[in-house]
Amino acid sequence: MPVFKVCLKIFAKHLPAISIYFIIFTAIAIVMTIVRGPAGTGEFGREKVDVAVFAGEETPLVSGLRNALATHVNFVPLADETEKLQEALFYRRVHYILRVPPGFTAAFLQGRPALLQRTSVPDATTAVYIDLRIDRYLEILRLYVNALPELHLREQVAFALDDMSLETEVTLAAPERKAGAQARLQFYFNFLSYSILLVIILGLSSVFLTFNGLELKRRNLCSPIGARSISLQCYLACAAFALACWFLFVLISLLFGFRELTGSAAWFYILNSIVFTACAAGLAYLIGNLTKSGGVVNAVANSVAMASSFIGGVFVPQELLGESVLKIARFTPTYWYVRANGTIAALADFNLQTLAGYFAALAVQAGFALAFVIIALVIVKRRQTAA
Amino acid sequence: MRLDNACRRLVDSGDDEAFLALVKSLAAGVERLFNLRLTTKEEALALLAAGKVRGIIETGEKMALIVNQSGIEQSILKTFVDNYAQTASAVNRIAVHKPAALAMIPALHAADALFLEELPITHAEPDNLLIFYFSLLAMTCLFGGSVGMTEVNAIQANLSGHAARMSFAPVHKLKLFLSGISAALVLRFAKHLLFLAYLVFALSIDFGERAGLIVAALFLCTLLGISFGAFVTSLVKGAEGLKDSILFATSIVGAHLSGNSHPRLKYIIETSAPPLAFINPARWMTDAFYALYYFDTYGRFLESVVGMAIFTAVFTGGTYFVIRRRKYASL
Repeated sequence: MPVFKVCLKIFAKHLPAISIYFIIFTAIAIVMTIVRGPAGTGEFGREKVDVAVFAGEETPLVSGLRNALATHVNFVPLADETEKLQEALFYRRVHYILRVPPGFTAAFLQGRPALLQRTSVPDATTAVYIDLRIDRYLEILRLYVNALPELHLREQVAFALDDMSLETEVTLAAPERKAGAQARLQFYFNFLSYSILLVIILGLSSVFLTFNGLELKRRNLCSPIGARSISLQCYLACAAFALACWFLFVLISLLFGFRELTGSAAWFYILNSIVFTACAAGLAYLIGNLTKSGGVVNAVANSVAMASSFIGGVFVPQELLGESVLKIARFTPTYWYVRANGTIAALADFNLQTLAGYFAALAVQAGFALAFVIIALVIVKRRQTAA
Repeated sequence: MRLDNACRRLVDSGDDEAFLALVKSLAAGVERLFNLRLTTKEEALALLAAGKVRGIIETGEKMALIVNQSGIEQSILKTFVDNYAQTASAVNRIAVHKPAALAMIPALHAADALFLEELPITHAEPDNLLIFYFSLLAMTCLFGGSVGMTEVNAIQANLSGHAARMSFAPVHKLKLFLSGISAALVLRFAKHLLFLAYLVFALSIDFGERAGLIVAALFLCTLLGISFGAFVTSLVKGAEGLKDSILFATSIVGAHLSGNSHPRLKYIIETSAPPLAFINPARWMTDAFYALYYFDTYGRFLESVVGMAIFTAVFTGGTYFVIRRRKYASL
């Protein structure tokens, strides 16, 4: 298969450039997994938030508030100067600043409007937890202040803190699955879609840019090897390259979940990734036949990978995206890839019934792969007849 | 008897009629919080294993929650159950101390009390989403490095016939280089202004009120991106494809490390690897825009501008230093 061998030679010639892409985007995937993944304790838990508190008065209510927050925050001492506070928020030295104005306790006890002042970075989840905790403490304290006014404030605060110490016991349904490692594996495979798309499009483009050169195309048309055979051998070489990239990516996933390979979930992630790789190869084939220069390939690869990753739920979880964004995202293979991974992450029991959604997502991705290849073949045929 | 909350949440209740009534009220209507289903514990566990529900709540002496994984929906469930348990504990304690006070509890619950107000400490509303857009703008400016690469390739005699002919011209190499860069800068800056106009007018992204300084910052970012591309190209010895891939990869990495895909990564890099943040051109660009938007004073913005100016001078000077005396054995 001479064309196949030539394609492999082209890959070999561009290996330094392809290796750079591979190393860089794998490193990004690993860094993002470590940054976004959970701590890996295997337990249901939350992070402590860095908070600065400025109290205009010291009363049992205020010290009770500090105690109520203590299990959920790290108190960070800061100077009470506007520019220093702006910087602390800007550089995330604190995520939340709470200010107790003077007279708050008296107003609260008398039932007059009393407001604490808060400033936070716009990181919805951490600030919301703190807000909820503060609201909870003051709501419960308000019950005692109104229902049992004869008690001293110190006693009312103690009751409120005792009530707030009640926490629901959370059990993971499948304790043999280490939830932390599973979640990190899910994050890694989700982010892998971005790396797979970029590496495969940029890698395969070297072959197409070579074969689509006018002189070479004309010489090939004169060769005894038919156009269909040339296309097929070319596509086989691209598939081999894509498979090699996929294999290396999966090998690296063992960093996060080598123990998880004994479970079923990891193999379903791997199966999903190979179907997505085939889809990426089809897309690369289409892009390679549409573009004529390396600069354009870079721009298209980055646009396609980044846009589909943003709306598909790679960078921002799908549950946080709006319905209109998700409607558009359904026209990208990345959405279905991330959705399939999410289905696996939510399952503890794997059988045909529970995996129906997963296989449906795989089928959609396979459909995308086929569609990309068919469109590319139509374009190639049209160009041949026009040339 | 156990309850399941199907599809998104799973609730499991024993004999707590008050809890059951509360959950039923929250599972009614179009904007309900839960989807509720009644079933046995065994069926509930099967539904959870199949991913059909997000959690099972068991009531009894002490509430318990069974989930498959940590996540936003599971956290909502836990918060809801915690709130109920804590309020129930308070009401029970009041009932023990003073049963007559129980009559006022419903009225107290119904009264919607606010305890927190937002106190902005900057003139602009902090918006984490802006980091994405500023980082995207920085990435766009960094991609201007391809133009810098073209200009450097255009005066390296071993890379093109055009460059070989220019090497014979009686024009100083620095003049050749700077005129090429200037032309590239004008065109690239015009494109970036178009992009900025699209962000501001089509997407309504708020860049703050200092339009003149924003445009000036954009100009400096464009110059930094072009000089960065020229510098990387001059350092890398090899084929154009290799230079292109290194430039593209470093631009993408720089953009990601400045918060392009996840804002938190920017701050993690700045706190745990400050030298890496320092040498990242995208970080200076992102900070310049965000400082203009976020801070009342110009200190942070000027710091970013000085940083960008120094890096531009280093990249431009470094590029000229590398290419000025390059000789070729043969062409």
